Amino acid sequence: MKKYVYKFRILLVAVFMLGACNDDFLERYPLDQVSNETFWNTANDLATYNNFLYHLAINDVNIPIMLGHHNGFDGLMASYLHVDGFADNLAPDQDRHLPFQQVRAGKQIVPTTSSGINNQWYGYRGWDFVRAINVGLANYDKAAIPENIRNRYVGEARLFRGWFYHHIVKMFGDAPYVDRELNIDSEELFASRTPRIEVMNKVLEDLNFAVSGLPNNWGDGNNPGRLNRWVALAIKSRVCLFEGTWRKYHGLPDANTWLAEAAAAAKEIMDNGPYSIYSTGNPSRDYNSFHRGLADLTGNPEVMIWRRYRLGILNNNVQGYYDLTGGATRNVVEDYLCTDGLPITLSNSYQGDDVFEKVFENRDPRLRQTILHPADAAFYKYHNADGLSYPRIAGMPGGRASSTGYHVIKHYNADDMIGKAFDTGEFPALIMRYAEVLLNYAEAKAELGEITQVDLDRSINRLRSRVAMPSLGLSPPMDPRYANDGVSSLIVEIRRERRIELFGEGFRYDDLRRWKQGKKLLKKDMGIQWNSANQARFPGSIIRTSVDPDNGKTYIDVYKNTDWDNPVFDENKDYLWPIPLNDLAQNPAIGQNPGWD
Amino acid sequence: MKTSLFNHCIASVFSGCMLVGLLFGSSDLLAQNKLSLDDNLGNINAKRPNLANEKKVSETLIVKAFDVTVTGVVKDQSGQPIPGATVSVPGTNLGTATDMDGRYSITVPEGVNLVFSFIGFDSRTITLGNQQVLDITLVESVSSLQEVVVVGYGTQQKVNLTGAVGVATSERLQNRPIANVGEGLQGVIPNLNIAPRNGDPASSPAFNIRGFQSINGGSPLVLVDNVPMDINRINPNDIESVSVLKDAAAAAVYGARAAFGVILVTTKKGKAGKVSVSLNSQFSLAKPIFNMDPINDPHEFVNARNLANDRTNGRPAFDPDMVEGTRRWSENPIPENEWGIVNGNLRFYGFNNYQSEIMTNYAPTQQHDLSISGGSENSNYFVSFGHLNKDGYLATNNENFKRYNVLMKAEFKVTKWLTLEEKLVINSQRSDKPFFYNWDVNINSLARVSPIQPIQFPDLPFYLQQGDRATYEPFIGTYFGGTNFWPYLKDGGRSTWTNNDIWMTQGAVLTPAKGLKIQGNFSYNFVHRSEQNVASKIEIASTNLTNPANIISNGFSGNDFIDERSNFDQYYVINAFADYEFSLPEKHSLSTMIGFNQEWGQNKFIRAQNNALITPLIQDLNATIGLQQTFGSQNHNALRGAFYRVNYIFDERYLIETNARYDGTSRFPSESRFGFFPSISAGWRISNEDFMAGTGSWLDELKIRASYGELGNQLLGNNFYPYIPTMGIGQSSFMMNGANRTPFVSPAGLVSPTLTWETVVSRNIGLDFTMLGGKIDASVDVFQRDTKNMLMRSTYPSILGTNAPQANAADSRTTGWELAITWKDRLKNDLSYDITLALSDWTAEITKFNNPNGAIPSGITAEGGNAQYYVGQKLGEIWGYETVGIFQTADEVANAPLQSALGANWRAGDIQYSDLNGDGRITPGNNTLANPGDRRVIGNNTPRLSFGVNNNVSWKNFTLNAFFQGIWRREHWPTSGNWTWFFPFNAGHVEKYFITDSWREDNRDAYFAQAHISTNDKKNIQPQTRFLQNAGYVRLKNLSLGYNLPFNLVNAIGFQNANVYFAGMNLWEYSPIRKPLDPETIYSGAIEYPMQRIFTLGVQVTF
Repeated sequence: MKKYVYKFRILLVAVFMLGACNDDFLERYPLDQVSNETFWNTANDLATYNNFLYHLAINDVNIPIMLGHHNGFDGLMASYLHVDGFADNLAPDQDRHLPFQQVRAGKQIVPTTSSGINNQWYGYRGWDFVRAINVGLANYDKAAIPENIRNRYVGEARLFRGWFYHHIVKMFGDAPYVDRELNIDSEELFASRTPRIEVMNKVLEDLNFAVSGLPNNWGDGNNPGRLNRWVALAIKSRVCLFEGTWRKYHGLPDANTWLAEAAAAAKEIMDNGPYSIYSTGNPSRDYNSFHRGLADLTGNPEVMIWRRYRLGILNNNVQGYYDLTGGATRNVVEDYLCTDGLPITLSNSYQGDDVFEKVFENRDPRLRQTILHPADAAFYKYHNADGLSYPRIAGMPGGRASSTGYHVIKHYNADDMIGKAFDTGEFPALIMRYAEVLLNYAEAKAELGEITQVDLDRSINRLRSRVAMPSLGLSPPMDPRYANDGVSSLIVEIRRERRIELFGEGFRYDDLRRWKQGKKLLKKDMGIQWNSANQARFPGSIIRTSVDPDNGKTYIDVYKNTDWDNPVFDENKDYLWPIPLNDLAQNPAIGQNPGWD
Repeated sequence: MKTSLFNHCIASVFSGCMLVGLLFGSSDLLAQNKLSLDDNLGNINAKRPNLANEKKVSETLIVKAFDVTVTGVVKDQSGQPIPGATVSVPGTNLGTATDMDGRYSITVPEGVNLVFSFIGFDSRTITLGNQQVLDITLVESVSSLQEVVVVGYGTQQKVNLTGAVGVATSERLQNRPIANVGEGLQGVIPNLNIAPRNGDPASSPAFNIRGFQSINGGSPLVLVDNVPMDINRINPNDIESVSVLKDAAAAAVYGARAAFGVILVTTKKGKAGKVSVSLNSQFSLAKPIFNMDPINDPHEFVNARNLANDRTNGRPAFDPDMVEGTRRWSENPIPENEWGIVNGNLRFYGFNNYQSEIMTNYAPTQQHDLSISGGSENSNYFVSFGHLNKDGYLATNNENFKRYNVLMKAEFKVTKWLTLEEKLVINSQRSDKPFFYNWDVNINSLARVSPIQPIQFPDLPFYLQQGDRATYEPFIGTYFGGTNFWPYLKDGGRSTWTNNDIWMTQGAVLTPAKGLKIQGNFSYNFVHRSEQNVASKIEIASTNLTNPANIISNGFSGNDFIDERSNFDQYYVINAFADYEFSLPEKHSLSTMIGFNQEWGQNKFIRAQNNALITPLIQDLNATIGLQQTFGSQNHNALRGAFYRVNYIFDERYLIETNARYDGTSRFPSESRFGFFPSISAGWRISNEDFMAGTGSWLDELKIRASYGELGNQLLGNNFYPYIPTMGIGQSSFMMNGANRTPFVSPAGLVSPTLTWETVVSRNIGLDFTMLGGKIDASVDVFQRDTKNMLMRSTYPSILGTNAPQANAADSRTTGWELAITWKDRLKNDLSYDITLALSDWTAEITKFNNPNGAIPSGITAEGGNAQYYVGQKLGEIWGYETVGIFQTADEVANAPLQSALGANWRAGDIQYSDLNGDGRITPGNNTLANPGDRRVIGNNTPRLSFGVNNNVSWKNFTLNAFFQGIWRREHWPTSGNWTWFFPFNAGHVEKYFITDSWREDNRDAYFAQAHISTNDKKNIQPQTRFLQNAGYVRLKNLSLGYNLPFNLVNAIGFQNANVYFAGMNLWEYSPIRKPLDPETIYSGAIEYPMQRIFTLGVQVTF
């Protein structure tokens, strides 16, 4: 019996040892994360948190506001080099550019969801960015730091929020406005969209706060560094110009208020900012040399925002995808002025397009720094300096053919491609530059009707002098092609200047929509003239052609007989994009945009 | 280019033979010693020194025949004679059968073994002395009626089971060319559903019991000797039995992890007796099952692509020179026609058959298992060593997968009341593959790449002009990058990983009092996974010859690096449980079990990546000169539970059992952390009732069972802290300053503070019967499984900006049935056979889900983590359009409902969709149930009627097994993603059916629309009725033929048993699915490692 007692005692001890009801055993907290309660103490905490906003914003597929070059495969679309494919500057003919082709031809399909690169890229998405901003704004107050230091980070977050909502309004009009962290019981989730007017008032509040809170210089010596007050002003000028002109031409109120804000923001940078137009005094190289720069844009006085790429951390393949732009259109090529400051329709020095090289003669030097002149192929090492002649038309041997005959070389950098592996490029992204501020200023002033020659000289004429073009005066002759646009000849020229200067930087599609010039997208994308001389010169080309009814000559017609032939632009529909079906299904109250039902 | 497979095989076989030979040799020595020792026992033919005399020996045997005539009666335990019982001498053709009175008479050589056998009884072997009369009593076999089944924390007689339990024994896993246990169990137990992802031995098949589990997924709990272990890492040959606990009654003692069933694996253990050594070696050759039928003429290829490209964007894919060049080569494939130079670029007009050039026809595998067992009264042991070595299909720098397993078990009876148990399990795996540089750099992509890419820089008399050969000579043989895989496979880095999974167990069994048995064990496990990816720089050539300085580049390999990853996981398990069997009056039997279980786990992950190797020859983090980066993560979790079982049996007729567990997990907040999961089950052995007395002649056993129980599901995958909102920490690739990553902290996600278990309510009714003296053995189960309070993330409007918190808010119901039936019989002429059918079916439906606007689940199917569901949804449903047909004329297009919402530019040759809602337009509506546009549910991908049919035949020394497995019906929407291989011109290759089955004006009845490059524009391949596939199939999973070497022969050389066998896996299949799809590997959405036909030759000896 004693033996049994002994055995049971062992057993009991064992059971208690194992089963001692120690609740701590089941309390397991994360080992590699921090909690919301213990964070948010120092300025450094705030900065580290805001770094996440930059981290999200380098995703050019989901948050295409600070558009650089998305890494890897998606960089074939999600890069500012390609966005003009939505409009009449570029004629991409690669299958992968289907979304550009659909939009360009007015044959967009209402997507089920907005996701990835092929389902409404540039569309209704990026809400995690808004949430991250709102979470930050709800917590910055917890830190016991001086108000002006805190406001730097508040300003940074609000700059991102205003900028993002501008993008949503730009694409969809009324927007689901959210300025706090939502939970599943938040009424905003199932609310109807906030009217554009209200949303834009909030956007302006955000941008104004950013301007007041952000420092002119963070003083940390970082490069590219964080966004500063000048950037906030530049964004403000862009957003306000967009909104002002949109309201003016789409019949919405208070256009002039916005235009005045745009002009004032730009003027502040022009008056007090550290930026200037990059120039070495070489009109035939300066315009595109810094667009093609590799590695580091530090020290360039024109660069306001740029993104660094470095092998092993962040790479891109945009140079490998450079030829996916297809080619520049005849339409944009014909928009470059002649060296006498007159459009080709008025100038006597225009040589016509019967011979390819003649197109470049007596033209704005920016043309030859944007479109490849055959004689420059060696200089640009275009492509691979293989000694073959240019232009190369689709179907011709040798690869890297152009859909139009006009090869784009504005951002081309052979050194980031030749001999380099897929997605190992380090081509930097020039996200925002001072030239845009000048263009915003001139346009806002002109739209307000209060522009002076001094304004022009401080803005557009700076850009012109870099390329040794004659100055723009207050009453230039009207280009007959634009006589029916319903705007003054000065505004025609300011818009032309914008198109030329900012070609290939992703502005054209948004500009046409805010000017309510959708009719320009009804014109087919053409290429070089297809006369018998060119047919003989470019053997093996596989292209389609059409006759231009205006001059009776035959041109390459890029999309003829394809799904994108005969472009459509429905004035009642195509200025805004469709809300994806899934978003409508989840919240019918947001409603579809007109014409997309 | 190809290393010789032949040599490779020879080498493997040779090394294997060496091993076998060594053992044979040594055993031969043993045998000699033994024989000399046993000489005085006067056994037959003792003086045979070596194998060479073998044949002579057999002859001697025959010469010495007819020494003795033995007669006798064979009876059962009750003394009744057994007619038709077999009396035979193994390994000879000597044999007879008993007559109606159980009598036999047989004349055999003196000293042989006589085997007495009859169906339903255990065989007996008698070594013949000089008896002339031999009466034998056979004992009824326990295999069906007294069979003991492993259940949770114990065992139970099969006849007394009240829950739903399926069993597989070791025979199903032995002597088969299977890389893991999953492959061996597929189709064996009804409703144990095992789905291989692909044919890759390094990838584990998914296990499922009884179909749809939860919208959050879920999987059965797999326990090996009561500790959780990755079943795919264990050696199939170490397994004694596998029990599948299917319903709540059977699984309740495992509580919160057993919601979707439990798989209990029991390993072999030692038996008292002499040392028994068993060696099994097998060699296999595997051939990939490729259903492709590519065209292999470059001219045909170029023309087909040109046609499709022209249709798509109005421009041919290849220029006239290419058309002409390929025509020239295909008419006259001489070397001069293979290459050309156009504008300074090399042109290849030939054709590559990648399948034959990159892939070997057969991949070898070898597998060796050695086990030793034995013991005495006070101790026993079982030790095994297993090794599997499997090669991939690459002709150069092949893939390789190895597995090593050690199992060591020992039991020591220290005192009458204390037994100690020791166990060590080592599962080690090693995989070595070429580094995966890009999406195309893989064996499995070879199907997709254009076959007219040049592979290697050619050796031409001259290149751009006469006399320039010297300039280009250095490049000859260098690979081009265009094929995307050749140079990377050939010269690139490797991805290797090693998994070492070690379990150490100390157990004790106490029997302090009669009827009481206390068992406890502590198991500690650590898993170390070490992974190294080396992406070394490769030189690849360009076809552009104009600038010789620029010919060499690095292709995808420019960013060379070493990436080292290390996982260290620790886990411990404590089990303590006690059984007590009450001493009760006759007719009553009551037993109880009570137990405790505690588990704890911690994972740590470290990763370092350094760029720029100094040289590809040295693959170490230190041997780099570029950017250095490190990453890490860790987590831990714990579980604790207590459980009991009470089992009462009255008069062997009425059975009742209750099981329950009280379980706690660290994954839930303390208020809702614990759950109680009870179950009850009952059985009625009808055949033991008095009124059934008359059926005894044909009905052995009839039982009905019923069970009800609740189980919890805590399965949240790797989400260990679902209720704690935490802020992420990371390193952004956004560089603020210099080439440095930027640290960031991200906002916490949304969590629900009230998370708790999903509850799984399971109901089961079953019927077991055995008839005709064990010839028929069957069980049928019908079940219903309600998964309640499923953790669900409702899909909220996207402006929520994050994943919705999970809440316990959705229900689903799975219903189904399963049947297992075996027929076995032994015919008089030594022929015995059995057939087992395992048949099962299930369907599932969502019974509660918060989807107020009736949004249609996004994507094609609704399976998956955060997917949307709706009430009444049948799981697996496929939404799509109804196809009218193919537009034949432009008029038809003009007169048909407008399809512009699906694409532009509709022409003859495109698909016409049906206007289901009659609004004159084909649209997806607004993607709600109320307005699905012209879509409807066109099918369901739930597998219906899964079956396995196992046939065994044995005749004398031969055994034959044929095992078929399949699914009767399953709808499948072929993936239309880029670079997949079903829809024509979706990838870079061209198959014959692309041409014959695409619409043309002279081929109007074609299956597919007019040739069109569909990588981007999917207008013709929207989910629709026309291309929906039936993925049902039947596949011959195993065919094996074995031969037991004659006993005398084997015994004479000291073996107890020797067996040679041939086994074939996946030798044949039938499926209505269109080729090239394989019905088993279509679910991963991409082309992966193919399934394979495996031919195996094996030898098994025991001595």
